[in-house]
Amino acid sequence: MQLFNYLLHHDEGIDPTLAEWIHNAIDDFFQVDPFVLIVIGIIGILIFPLILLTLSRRYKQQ
Amino acid sequence: MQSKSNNPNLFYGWYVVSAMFFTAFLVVGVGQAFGIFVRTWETEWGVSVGQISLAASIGALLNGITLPIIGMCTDKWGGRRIVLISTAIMGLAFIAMAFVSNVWMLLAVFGVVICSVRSGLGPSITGTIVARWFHKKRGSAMSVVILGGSIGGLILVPLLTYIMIEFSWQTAWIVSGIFTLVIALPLIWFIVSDDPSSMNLQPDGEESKDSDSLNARKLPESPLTVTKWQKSLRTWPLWQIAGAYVVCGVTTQSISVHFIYWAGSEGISPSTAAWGFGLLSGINAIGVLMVGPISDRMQRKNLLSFVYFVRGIAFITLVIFPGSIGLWTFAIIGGASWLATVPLTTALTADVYGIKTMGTLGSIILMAHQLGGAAAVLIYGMAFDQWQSYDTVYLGSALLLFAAAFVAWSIHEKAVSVRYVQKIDPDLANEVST
Repeated sequence: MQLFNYLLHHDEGIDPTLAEWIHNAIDDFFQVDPFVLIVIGIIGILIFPLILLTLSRRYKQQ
Repeated sequence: MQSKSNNPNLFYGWYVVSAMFFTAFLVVGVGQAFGIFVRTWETEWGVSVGQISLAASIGALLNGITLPIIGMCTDKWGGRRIVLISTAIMGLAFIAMAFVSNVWMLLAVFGVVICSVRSGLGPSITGTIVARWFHKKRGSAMSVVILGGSIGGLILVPLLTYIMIEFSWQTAWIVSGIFTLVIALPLIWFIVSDDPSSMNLQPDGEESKDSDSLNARKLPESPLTVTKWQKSLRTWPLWQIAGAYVVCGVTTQSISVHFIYWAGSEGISPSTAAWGFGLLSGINAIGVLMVGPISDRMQRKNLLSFVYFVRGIAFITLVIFPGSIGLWTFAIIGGASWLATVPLTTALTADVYGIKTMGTLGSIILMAHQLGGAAAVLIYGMAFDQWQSYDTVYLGSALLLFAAAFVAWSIHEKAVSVRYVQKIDPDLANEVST
């Protein structure tokens, strides 16, 4: 059990201060409303798969 | 019949690779974000960090154990089916995470379901699909798939942290689940196919002079291709590849867990350490993308050996240079070699042992990597508690990496890889196995 404690002791979560720092760093960089920022992030992630699906569909149709 | 390779479009194999790139982006990225929720759960559920970490530790163990089982299923039913089922279960499990309210539920959903299913989306499984679509550009294609995971961590960890702080941790998991079910799952369903022949294509998009003949579509056999994976255990290359890969697991997983602690022990702030690890991840993405195409032009084992050697040098810098100089030096040198071993190892395994048993063999090799990593996390923790310093284990890791470099270099690739030898020679197979 002592061995297991070593593993658990060193497998902790992110420091809350660090999480807050990441949040503030993102805010400072983009300087837009958080909701708008999240929507932009989600749209940014969606663009790649949508383009990929469209191109592969066109490929199969040829 | 006209081969589709005359088509001026991009070879369809790259669409397959791109779909798996995005799946790796989502699944690996969300998986790496587990740590950001730990402190919130600790406060909300009134439990210790240790109890939450128990779920992650059991999950890591289950992930290692389930790898060969899922690998065998892949060899039997095909990679596409396994990736599809794993992605669907993963998406549902991400959403289920939003409804977890105690440690036991966390253990069931994250520790058991997510960590087990993650095996089905690992490089040993996606590699079986890539290996069928690509022969000459196998390394390049594997690099792109692995790159998805690297970029996923870089983008999704900060994004999910942001969503958690602005809304709630439940929202972060629901968004992850919806992404996986609505985007990744259709990508796999509509784009990924197990074999180019199912679309009347040749691997690498090459044109066949006789595309209708069965022989033209038949894959060249690797010198050590076996019908039963157990026979591979009697050959040296498997032990050489797995032995070196254990060292990869030891050095990457221990640093992932202990890097912030090490920085703290050197008087470096968590935010500077995070920047350092971010730089390492960014350089890692470039390194991963570069090694594949380079390895397609030379013996993969030489590049693999070089990558282990460079990482060994990176660990030496952590011992030699104090504080933040060590941090930035390690981030640059170590980052270049970080996950570069994954596409090289996966492609080399496919080259040497062929595709028939690749799911199982690749998973066994990956299991060695995972279990080695778990043991190293434990040993690093014990060493730090003993000496209040990581210098001894860093030095030990450097020596292990130099040994791994030698082991990788000693693989007789020209005698056992399908890139150089394409016929099964029982005498040769016997020679390299003894």
